[in-house]
Amino acid sequence: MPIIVTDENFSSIVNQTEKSVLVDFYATWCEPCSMLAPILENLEKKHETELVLVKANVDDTPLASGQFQVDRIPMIILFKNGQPIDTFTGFQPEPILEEWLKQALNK
Amino acid sequence: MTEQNLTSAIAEYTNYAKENGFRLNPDQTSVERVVNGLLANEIKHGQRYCPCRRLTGNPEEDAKKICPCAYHQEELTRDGKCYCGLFSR
Repeated sequence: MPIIVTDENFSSIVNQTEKSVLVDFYATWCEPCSMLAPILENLEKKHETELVLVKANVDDTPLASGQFQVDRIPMIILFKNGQPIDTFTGFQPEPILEEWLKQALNK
Repeated sequence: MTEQNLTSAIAEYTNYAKENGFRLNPDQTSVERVVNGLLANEIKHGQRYCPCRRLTGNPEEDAKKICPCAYHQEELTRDGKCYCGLFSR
């Protein structure tokens, strides 16, 4: 299950070091965000030993969204040890996302 | 947001698309979700800002994100649809 964050707990969640953190910046009415959400949840299940999925509604995370220059959503950022490793924007099919994730996790 | 507002806004964007040589996304569910987002933004922020773009608080920058946004023509040409998925070729 994804973790829901706000600006108040964003840093503490993202800075965890046990697993990599995949942050999904999204908005409620964003169509590509809705299309992407189940794919991200599926990828989290596939990689549950090394990955945790975090959902950041941009309305609830204005500081974090600004800090990471979120312009278009969905915007996905993979964090390792609290550091952003890789990012992508927009809807992508699951096979492309899985390949991106595998490469990003190995960075 | 009322059903009437939704229907009226969809008709408005349908006409806009037709007048400009493209169309609405054929997936009605997607269209309704995007237009509901536009109407929610109109209530919340006073303008129908794209629901797939984050507002910065800079009026000049944010004005580009009012639907039909400053980017939709380029996205239609490049991707066959606008980023939010409201318009398609």
